[in-house]
Amino acid sequence: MLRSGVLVLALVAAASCAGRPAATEISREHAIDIARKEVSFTPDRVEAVRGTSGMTPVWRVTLAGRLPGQPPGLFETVVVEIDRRTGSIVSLART
Amino acid sequence: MTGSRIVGRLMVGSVLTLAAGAVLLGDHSWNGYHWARSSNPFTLTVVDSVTSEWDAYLNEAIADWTASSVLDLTRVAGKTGSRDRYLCSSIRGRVRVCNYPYGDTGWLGIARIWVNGVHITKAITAVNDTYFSTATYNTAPWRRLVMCQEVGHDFGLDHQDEIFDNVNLGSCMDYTSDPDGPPSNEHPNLHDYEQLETIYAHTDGKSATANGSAAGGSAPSAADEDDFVDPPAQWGRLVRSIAGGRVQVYERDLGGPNRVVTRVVWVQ
Repeated sequence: MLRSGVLVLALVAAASCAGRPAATEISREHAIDIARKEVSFTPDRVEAVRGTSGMTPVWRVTLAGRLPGQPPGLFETVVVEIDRRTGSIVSLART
Repeated sequence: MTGSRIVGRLMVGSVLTLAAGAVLLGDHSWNGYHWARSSNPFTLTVVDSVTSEWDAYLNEAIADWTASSVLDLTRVAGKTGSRDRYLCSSIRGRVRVCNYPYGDTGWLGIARIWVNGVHITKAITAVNDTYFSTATYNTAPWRRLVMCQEVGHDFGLDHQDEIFDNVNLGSCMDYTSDPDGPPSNEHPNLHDYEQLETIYAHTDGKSATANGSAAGGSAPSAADEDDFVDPPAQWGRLVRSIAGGRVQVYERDLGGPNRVVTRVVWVQ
């Protein structure tokens, strides 16, 4: 497994602006509203986290839910990345 | 009843039948997302980053979708190292297909498209060997269905139907618990090809595909790549990548003045 070959060193350091909200960005709620328009199912779980896609700051919104008759252990997942500055969709992933 | 009335009723009947048929078949465009191109059929390159146990299924999917009148797919060999398949980096203007044991994600396969407005700029398909190594899913029909469906998403197709336990529609874009039916859901059906013709009926006057033929797009570069798999969430964001990406530094903001710096050395 790849992870077994990964050496990780973690340090707690001081002062960084990494991952901080931009001065002006769309709200988490707005991002979720945009993402909801991309799914046809009713999600059981909705999660929005800040991230980057290439150089673009994005909200990464994950919507997951089960569909009628879906085999055990499987569920529908849609991930929508939304530009935090403009609200435009950067990428979409679906099962 | 006069002859004209009979004809009139027959015509009404035909219109109703057509309307019912249209409702039954429905539209399964993925919200109008499509590849920009200047003419049809357009050529799209599929980068093969799957291992040998998937090659036959990818080749079948390529042949199936190339049967569309609007689309020609060409396969090129991609990197198949463990890390390459895990990250499955996207390449501008191309579709990349990877397999890896991605874990208990809840999905057998996933398609991701990057978009500019309604135009797809690059795409990937990933199939999850965590499930395909189990007795339930390690079958030719399941592999064929999932590969066909996820690659189909990369062109802007949605599912035809999302109920698993109803009768198969005979399309790989139909969810099912019984891929080989009958009817089999292992390949596209006529409605999938018709939907592609509808999606690509217009031209855009420009091309987003990176091919030398009909597309005339620019060659992809490493700067155009995005990884499909994100690093573990607890690592935070990537701030530095050196030694060809073998050493990476991530930072996670803990709020206030605190942060966690994680240095990762990837071992192939």
